[in-house]
Amino acid sequence: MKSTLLLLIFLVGSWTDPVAAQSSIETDPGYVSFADLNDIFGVAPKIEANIHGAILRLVAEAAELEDPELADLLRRVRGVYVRVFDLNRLNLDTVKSYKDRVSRLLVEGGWDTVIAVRKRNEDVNMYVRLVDEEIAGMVVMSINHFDDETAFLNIVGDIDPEQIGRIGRKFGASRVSDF
Amino acid sequence: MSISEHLDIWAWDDSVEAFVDGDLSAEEASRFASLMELEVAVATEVKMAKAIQNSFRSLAPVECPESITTAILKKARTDLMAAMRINGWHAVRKYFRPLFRPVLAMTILLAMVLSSVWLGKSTTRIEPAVAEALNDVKWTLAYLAEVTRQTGSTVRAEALEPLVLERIQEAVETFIDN
Repeated sequence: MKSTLLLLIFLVGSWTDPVAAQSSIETDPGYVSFADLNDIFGVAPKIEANIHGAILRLVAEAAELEDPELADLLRRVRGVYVRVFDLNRLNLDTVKSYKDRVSRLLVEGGWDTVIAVRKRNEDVNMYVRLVDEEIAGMVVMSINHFDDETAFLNIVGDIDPEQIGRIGRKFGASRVSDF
Repeated sequence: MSISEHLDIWAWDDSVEAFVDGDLSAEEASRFASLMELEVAVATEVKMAKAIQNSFRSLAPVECPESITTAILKKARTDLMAAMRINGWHAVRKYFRPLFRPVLAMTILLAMVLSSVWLGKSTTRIEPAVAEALNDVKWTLAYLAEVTRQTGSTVRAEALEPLVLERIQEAVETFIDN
C-alpha cells in the first residue's frame, strides 16, 4: 500500500514537472516571450525553437560526449527560444515597429543595451538582463538584409557571453547555413 | 630324499645364487650344504655358479656407450624439470589459491564495468527530438557568435575608431603641440 502510494506520488510528480518547468521559466527575469510573433507577422517562422525544462537537460547530456564545454553552458541555461523569419515574406515596417517596441519595453524593464546597430543592411539590437550582477538573460533582435532574414533570440540563464562566442565560433559562421 | 622334497625348483635356484653370494644365514647355509651332498645336480649347479661368478670378476669393467649416457641424462633432466614444474605449479596454486578467486572476481567485474561504459558510450543513441534541439542550440550559438562578430566590426569601424580613438588621438596631438 505504501509503495503504491509512493509510486502514485512519483507519477503525479513526473506528470506535472514539464508544466511546472514551463510556468517557472515564464516568470524568470531573463525570459522574454516571442510567442505572439507568428500572429503579428502572419507567417510561420522558418526556424522556431523552444528549448527548456527536461528537453534542455537531455540536450545538455547529449552534448556532453562531443563537447563538454557546451554541456557545461547548457546546464546553466534555463531556456533557449528562437524565431527566424524569411524577410521577403514580411512587411519590413511591421518588423521594425515590433523590434522598436520590444527594445523600448526591454530598456524600460531594466535590460541593458549591449549593442544597437542600425544601418541600411544591418539592424541589430542586443540586450542583457543583470540580476545581482549576474546575467539572467540575453535578447538579440536582428534584421539582416544580406541574408533576407530577421531573427529574435532569447537565452535565459546564467550565461557567459564570452563562452557563448567561443562555443559559437566552434560551430562556425560558415556552418550556420548547414544546420 | 629328492631335492624336490626339500625345495621347489625356483627356491632351489634362488638358494644357489644366495649360497654362492654368501647371502644365506648360517643355518640356511648349513642346510644347503647338506643338500649339496645329497644332490649332485645341486652341487653341479653351485659349481657352475661359482665359475660364472669368478669369470665375471676377471672381466674388465665395461663402459656405457656415450650416446646411451647422454640419452639417459637428457631423459633424467627432462623428468626432473617436469617434476619441478609440477611442484612449482602446486606451490603457486597453494600460495595464491586464497587470492585467486577474489582477484578473478574483481577482474571480471572490472571488465564488465569497463565494457559497459565503453559499449554505453559507443552505442549511445540520441533521440531525434533531442538531436534536433541540440542542433537548434548549436545554430543559435553560432548565430550569436556571428552577429556579435559582425556588429563588433561595425561598432569598431563606425563608432570606436572615428568617435573615440581619432578624437583621443587629436586631443593628444593638440596637447603635445601646446
